[in-house]
Amino acid sequence: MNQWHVLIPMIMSSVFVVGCERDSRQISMPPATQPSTQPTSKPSGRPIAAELITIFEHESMQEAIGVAVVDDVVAVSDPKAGAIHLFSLNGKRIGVWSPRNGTVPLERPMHIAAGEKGWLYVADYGSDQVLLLAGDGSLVTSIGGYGSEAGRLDAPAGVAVTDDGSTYIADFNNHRVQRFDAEGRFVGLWGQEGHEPGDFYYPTDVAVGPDGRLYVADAYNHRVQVFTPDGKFVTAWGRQGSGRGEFDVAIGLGVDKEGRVFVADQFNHRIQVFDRQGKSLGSWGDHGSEPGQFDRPSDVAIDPSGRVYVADFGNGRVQVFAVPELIGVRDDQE
Amino acid sequence: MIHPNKSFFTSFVLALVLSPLVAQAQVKQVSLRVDGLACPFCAYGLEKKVAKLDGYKADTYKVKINEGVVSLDWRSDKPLDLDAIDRAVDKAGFTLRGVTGRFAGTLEYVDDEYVLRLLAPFDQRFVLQEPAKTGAGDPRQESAPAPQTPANRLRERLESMSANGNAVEIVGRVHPRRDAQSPDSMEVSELKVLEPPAQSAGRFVFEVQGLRCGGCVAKVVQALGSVAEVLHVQGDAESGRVVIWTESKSPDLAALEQKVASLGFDVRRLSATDERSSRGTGG
Repeated sequence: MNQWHVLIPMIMSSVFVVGCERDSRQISMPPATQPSTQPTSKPSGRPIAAELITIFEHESMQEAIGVAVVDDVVAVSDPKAGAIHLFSLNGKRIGVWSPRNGTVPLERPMHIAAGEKGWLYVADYGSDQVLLLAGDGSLVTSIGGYGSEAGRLDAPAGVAVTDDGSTYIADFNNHRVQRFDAEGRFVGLWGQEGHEPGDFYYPTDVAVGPDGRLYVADAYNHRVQVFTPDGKFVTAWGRQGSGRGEFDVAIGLGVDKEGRVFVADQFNHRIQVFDRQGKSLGSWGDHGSEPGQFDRPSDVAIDPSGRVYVADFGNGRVQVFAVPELIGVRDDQE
Repeated sequence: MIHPNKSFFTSFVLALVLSPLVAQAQVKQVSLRVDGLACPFCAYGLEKKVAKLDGYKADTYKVKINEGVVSLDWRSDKPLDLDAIDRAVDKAGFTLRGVTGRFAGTLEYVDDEYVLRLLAPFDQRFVLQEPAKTGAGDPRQESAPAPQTPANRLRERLESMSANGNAVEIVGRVHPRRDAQSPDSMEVSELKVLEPPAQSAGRFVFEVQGLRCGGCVAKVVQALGSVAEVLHVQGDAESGRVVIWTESKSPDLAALEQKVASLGFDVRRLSATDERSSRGTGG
């Protein structure tokens, strides 16, 4: 039985139209782990008019790094607090899972993903495991454990779940992606530290498209890479910069049911959207703490209705957008 | 009493040693300034490497991502391993720019230099230095802040303190040793004298034969400081005395004497009369 049901009517209490004028206050604090060149111009590209629907905030939410929509609950991972915060779709906080209240063995939850059974999959940096949590927060099972051998993880940063329950995991410090079956058994891995196609340099997130292809946020190579389900390289796009289709740390991503790829472009403080071939459809957001602005956005989730949930890390909140110009538009590259 | 102005050839054996130990961590807290610590995946990735350090005290890692500063507590039974810290930061993909810590220990005067000795099961000392105005010293260390007041004239302060006793707590930026023979060094930014705890119920003085050097004092003080009911210990090589402050009025003194005797020293507890009639103060 799905235990996630918290039936609260959708209330769109406030709507803001987010302008696309870029903030000139560029922050660039590239980690030593990236091939660093400082962006010299403010982010540019085709603007997308995104309407801010609502903002999810709570005084106990210290950092918002990952977001996932599981049925009618929005889960937000908070690594600083070691917690998963739960919100209704209209932004009311309805609970928290944390070791402090005895629900889950979380240490540093990073990116998260929704599973078909109403489970939440949590990439837990601290324990080097991906934790599968049921709707009441109880631990179903775990995958991984520290190490560099096949099937082991060193700082899992992101996880994606297929329709059949298989998982893909971005294995951050091992610079690779691993696949496990629905029972948590190791299936395969690919990638190594590097900058060539198929290599990774600190991957931080993964997402599965409607066609089964895997999208990897190859964060410190500043690109998105695409693979077949069994790990064959398909394509990649992006490089470091602030222009259209460029990234300053591609840290998190989500794919909608049309196959469009939404990428959290962390230090450009914006969300970029691409079609499945990597063609840029535009972007929105600029740096700041006002509604509609971002401070180092770190993850994107899209619900079945097309609402876009952005984990606004530096502002400790999740912002929810509607993107009218994309809703109902078929990917012209398909 | 040895005074630095009087003797350049003061040997290690004759070093001023008035050695108190508060029964708590000697390396209390460490802050790392790290280049490139900008994103949460980096910050918590570094945590994973730091957590594997031998001296890391569990669950004490705190990070200020925007400032690039990590703070953590260090285990009192482990020396501060600067090389291991540097390796851990490097392995996480960052560059270590500075290590600052808060330390409790005793002052020694050796070969015209003031040294902080951590009273611990290991021997770790830091040569004390004025805060550098520029990034002198180890190239990994960033520039230290310039001295803010004349009170930073460290040597003058240390000389004035040495006559009164020298259980100290120091906040400073540490630098790794330049070679195997030299100790680590520390730029002192804050310095305060430690006092015996106010909540102590008993004070007892021992005369210890053979207590001639800093190393001997450190052994005795460490042994007594490890006893739970002992709140504070001071040892003085010059007077040959060790003073303890205890939680209760009537601790097991025989057991404490045995603890010192087991180190190879003859020990005798002094009565109040003995204490008044003999030399020195011993704290």
